[in-house]
Amino acid sequence: MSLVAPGGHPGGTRIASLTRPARGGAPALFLRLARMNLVIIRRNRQILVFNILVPLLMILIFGGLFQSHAAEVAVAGPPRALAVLRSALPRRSFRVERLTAAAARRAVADGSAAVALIVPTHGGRPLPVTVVENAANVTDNGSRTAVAEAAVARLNQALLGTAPAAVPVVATVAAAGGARSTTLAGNDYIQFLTPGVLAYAVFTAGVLGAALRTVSDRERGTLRRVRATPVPIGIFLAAQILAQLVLVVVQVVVLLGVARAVYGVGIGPQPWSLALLTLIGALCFLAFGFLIAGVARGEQAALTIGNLFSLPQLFVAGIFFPISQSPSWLQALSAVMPLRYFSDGLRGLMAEGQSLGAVGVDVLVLAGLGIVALVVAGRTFRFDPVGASR
Amino acid sequence: MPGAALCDTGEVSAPVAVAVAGLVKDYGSVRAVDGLDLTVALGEVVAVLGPNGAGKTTTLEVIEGLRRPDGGTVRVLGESPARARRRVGVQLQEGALYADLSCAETLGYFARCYGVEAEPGPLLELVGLAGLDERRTERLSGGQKRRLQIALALCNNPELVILDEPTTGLDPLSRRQTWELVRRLHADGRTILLTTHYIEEAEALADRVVIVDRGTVIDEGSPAGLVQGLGTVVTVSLTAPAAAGLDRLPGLVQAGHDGDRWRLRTKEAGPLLAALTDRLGPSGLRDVLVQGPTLEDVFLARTGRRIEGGDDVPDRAA
Repeated sequence: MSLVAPGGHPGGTRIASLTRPARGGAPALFLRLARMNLVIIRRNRQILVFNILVPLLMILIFGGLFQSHAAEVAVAGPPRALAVLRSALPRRSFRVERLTAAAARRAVADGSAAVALIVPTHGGRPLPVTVVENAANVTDNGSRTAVAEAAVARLNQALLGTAPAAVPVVATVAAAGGARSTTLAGNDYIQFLTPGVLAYAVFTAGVLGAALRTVSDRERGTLRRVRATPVPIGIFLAAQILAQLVLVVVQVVVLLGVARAVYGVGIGPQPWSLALLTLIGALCFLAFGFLIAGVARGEQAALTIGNLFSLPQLFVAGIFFPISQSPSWLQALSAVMPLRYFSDGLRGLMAEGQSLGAVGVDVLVLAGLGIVALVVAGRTFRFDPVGASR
Repeated sequence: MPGAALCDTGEVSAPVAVAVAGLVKDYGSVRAVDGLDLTVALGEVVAVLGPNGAGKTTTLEVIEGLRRPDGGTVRVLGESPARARRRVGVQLQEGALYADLSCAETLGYFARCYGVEAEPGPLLELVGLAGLDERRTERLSGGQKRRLQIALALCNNPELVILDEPTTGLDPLSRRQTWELVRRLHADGRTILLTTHYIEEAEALADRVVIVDRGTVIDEGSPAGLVQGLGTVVTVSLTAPAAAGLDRLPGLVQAGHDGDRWRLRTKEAGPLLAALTDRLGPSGLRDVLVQGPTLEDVFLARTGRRIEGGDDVPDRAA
């Protein structure tokens, strides 16, 4: 192929004919850059392993370890109540059985049922459902009550046509002599664990993903090369953020899809609230990632700072176990950890059927921390490799 | 020529691509550039020559809009450096490639950053990377990466091309191909500003050489003009015992040796060669090399030092 420009100098090039103005303006530029960033993410196996495969294994392994049986739920009440509860409780996790009230209490006492719900024939008022728990299963009773509350809300909705805030009456029975240990933990745990693991996956993708990618690009000189072009820096960064958010969408779909398919984990009654909270959390953690990139002097430093920031949160922010079971000093420590608010919020929406308003504190804390991190990141962000001068 | 400024050369006013006056740049307490003046006319090839740490790259980065000057003024194609970016092609000295993108994708990405679409295949062919469109940049050799960076400098069809040590680390063949590409860009009427610490590169490519040391310009002019300004100093290199006492021969301007490799500078080669024959005998003259003055000699004469790395170019310009 000749590189001589037609009509040009015989020693010249024909570069002018190899380029043409791009069409579409800023939106097309933004989408093109975002697409290329997605290509970079897709081809980076480390990103896929740490952001999708590892959390997926967490859910599968921990879910499998604790998924030894479906919990027996003894129901004493009208047949319709039984039908409603069977549809309300995940079939993979709960086996609902109809008994008389006395038999249900005995079943809880001897451990053959994890919980009993005693439903009276309704009289047009909120149902005073009695939840019978085994006093021996103290660590498990909080989550049991939450499950029972959600079930009772469904009962009220089905039987009365409204969903009044009927708080079930909780009664405990003493464990019978020689009773086997029966717990809802295994079945509740996957419902508890999944939002936590999802929160941690989004958290690490944002914090470590953004920090390491940005520092790597900076130290390689790529950011400086981009800076030498006329591309608006806002569009450049927004394209990176959009690509990162697409990764978050993939995380959500894969993790929740598998958790639902394998363990019947639900996403709660408000999927759009879940999406909004996830978006706020992802943006908050991306801001922290950019902040870490700004203060870290190199990739190793970014990794160290990122791990120092994230690993304590993995263990203290209530990902694997309820923070309410921790010592008070640990609970106080977790209160300053952004991951806790994200995890609590997701859990409230997914496992406890709450509304976005009910997890409003979590939303506000995440948004506030995200804005603070963004402001600091804006002041510390650098395009040049550290120490680059000649 | 949109936005081009004019410079008064003392004879006629020529359109100016780059006008740097009194540039100062500090890194903490270290002054990297100290009152540097540099003018590049449109269509000119200017080589900024100097040792490592002379301030070449910093000067270029200010011109590219990557660093703010601490003093002085900089105009590029009649605009501020930041506003001129769209019209300037830049090859940075280091890195600057996404490891997970192919060569074609990299060109497409950066072209889009300039607001243009580029045809990657012919551009890659232009820099000697034909057929490597789909190869990931992480799998390129060092020389191939350098050539891809040069292709990036061309992807926006720039009026001014800035090349920061474009052949450092390249093998002789790749270096010559790069020189040929620079000549073709020049023939196209593009303005080229490059830095190098290779004497031969500056001599081979530049219309004008600006010699920089310790952040300031110590001399400038055409390669031939700079060398002529030294007078007719000739360097005779030969292998002889270190104890031969060749530095006491008559007519030497300067003499020295590194082991048994002697380097003698004189204004007339004939009498020196005759004296060497007398001293060593006809069979004692080994590995004799007679060189006319080079830009290295200019730098040596101005600073008393050699340009670091400037003598490791394995082949001389054609």
